[in-house]
Amino acid sequence: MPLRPSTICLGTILALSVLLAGVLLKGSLPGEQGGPDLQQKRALVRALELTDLCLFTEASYTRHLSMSDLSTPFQDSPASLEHFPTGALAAPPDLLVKRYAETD
Amino acid sequence: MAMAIRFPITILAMALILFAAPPLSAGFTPAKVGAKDKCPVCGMFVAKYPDFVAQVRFRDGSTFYFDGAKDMFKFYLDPSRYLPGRKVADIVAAFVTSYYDLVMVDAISAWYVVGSDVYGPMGRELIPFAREAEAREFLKDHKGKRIVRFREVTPAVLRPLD
Amino acid sequence: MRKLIERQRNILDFTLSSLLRRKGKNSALLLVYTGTIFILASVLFLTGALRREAALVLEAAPDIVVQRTMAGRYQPIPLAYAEEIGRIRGVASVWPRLWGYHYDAAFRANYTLMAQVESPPERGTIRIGSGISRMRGARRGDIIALPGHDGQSRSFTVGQVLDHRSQLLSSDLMLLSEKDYRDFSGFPTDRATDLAVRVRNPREQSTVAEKISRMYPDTRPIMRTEILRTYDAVFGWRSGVVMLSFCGAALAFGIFAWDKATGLSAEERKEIGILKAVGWETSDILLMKGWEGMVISLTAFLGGILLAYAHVFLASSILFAPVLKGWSILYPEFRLSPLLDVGQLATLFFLTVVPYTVTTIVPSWRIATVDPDSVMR
Repeated sequence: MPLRPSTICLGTILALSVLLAGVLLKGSLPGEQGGPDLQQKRALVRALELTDLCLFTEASYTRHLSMSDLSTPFQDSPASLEHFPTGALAAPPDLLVKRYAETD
Repeated sequence: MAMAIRFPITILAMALILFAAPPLSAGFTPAKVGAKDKCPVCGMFVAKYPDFVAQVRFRDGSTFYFDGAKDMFKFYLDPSRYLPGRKVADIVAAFVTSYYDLVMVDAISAWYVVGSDVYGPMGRELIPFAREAEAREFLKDHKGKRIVRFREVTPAVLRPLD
Repeated sequence: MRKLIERQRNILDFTLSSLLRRKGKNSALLLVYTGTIFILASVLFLTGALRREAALVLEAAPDIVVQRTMAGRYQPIPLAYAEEIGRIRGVASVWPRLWGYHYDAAFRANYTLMAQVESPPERGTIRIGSGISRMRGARRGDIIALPGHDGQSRSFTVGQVLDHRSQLLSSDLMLLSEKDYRDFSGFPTDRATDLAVRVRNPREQSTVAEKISRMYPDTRPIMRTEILRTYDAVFGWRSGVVMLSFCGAALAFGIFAWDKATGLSAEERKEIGILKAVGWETSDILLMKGWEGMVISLTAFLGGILLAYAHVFLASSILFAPVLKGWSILYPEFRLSPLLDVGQLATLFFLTVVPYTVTTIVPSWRIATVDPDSVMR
């Protein structure tokens, strides 16, 4: 007897749900919350007195986000909203683009 | 010879009478709060507030924990009200958590600031310090009203804190 | 009970075969739907995980960092400041941090150089982050030569490559001994970059910070709470930008889905009419349409979420890398600790599955209630 389409369909949905539940459960295990990796990272932060994540290394205010501020004039801060729309629309100078492209 | 022996005994007896009321925490070390210890005064779990823990030790070795110096004083001034059968005379040691370094210090010799802007889990608190200079600076920084010693804490001092 | 289940299954069977009859259109819909949820969920997962990681990891950051400014620019801070700040009541420790940047002209990358105080590397050796190691192909024992402040090149032996699992923090780090760093950067011996202050009682932190800025008006204390808030906000901002650019696509899908779900095609109208004519009740037709909406949106939802999970937590968000990378030459290939937020999933569910199912049912209900004769005509 061939499988009924409803069996296939419900089976697929059930399998996906089980997978999702597994993923959710895995994340809520205590080991995942504060696992050894996280402990190790925290130890590094403490040993080196780090203040920032190494996410974007193109400028000091993106490398050390929390060390930039508004109390110094001409702060190149990611929070400088006046740069946002224009800064995002204007392309960087050709010279820079070429130089950066070479290393890619 | 007999005189010589009796004399120190008299002094000892006198000393015992004199100091029986103020318990001496000397020779005792503060115990660690357990996760299940509740404050006998307010009934809250104490381990959640490590920055404010206070404790009282009885002669029989039993220790009670409080979530702040205020509750400890309430207990100390009238132990039988919270734990029937307990008497002040049986208290051998008391410790409070000093504010700046968060370590347990002897409650008897500590200095307490009343009326400051630092609140504990039970609201307004007596903030304990090991040294007078610390208490003075804290009083200035945190708009404290006055500094009191252990002996000076009476129900009248505690009332405005509630 | 058995009969009820059998009835539902029969209706589902019918729904599926009717969906399969319009295979092209429906599979395209499923694909676009899954893709939409995939992107939406990826952005949510990535920013959520980064935010969470930052909060957990930076919990160990210094309580207060004291910077000094002069003429509106950051300046090295005199070590004498550290002594005075250490005397403030409630301060547990003051560590001078010695660090700075180095631009590597050969690779056009920025490094963060730092003097390690605790168990420093031997003189002449350095520890490098795995990002630098990967980019330069440098391993333990290799020699890296960098031009110092006086223009003279100094060579260092790589003593250790930092664990790649901590890349999110250390990808671009280069750790030296204090003597080496001062010699390399020309930092005066009585100065540091900034001061890391630890305060024993968290309640006292803001008072200490106030005292510091009163004592030295040219300094700026940065509290850890501010650091954490910065990271909380920046990912909100980044995900906002991504969401904004994604808005158009989401809108297009919305229109597509709306059109598909509401504007029943003539064929579908006819189908409903025939079903009614052969004796189906309105409730059966609604049931069928309900199954149809649920099958499509549940499959798309589950598929999209699981794909997004794999993308963010197993494949390091590879599709977003070009956006996140920006101009960075050094970029961490971070692995985030996987965690799904049930609240987020519920939000996604109620924003996608529920409205879609409703929009499939409502128009067919309107048609199903009218006379089959007028529908078929």
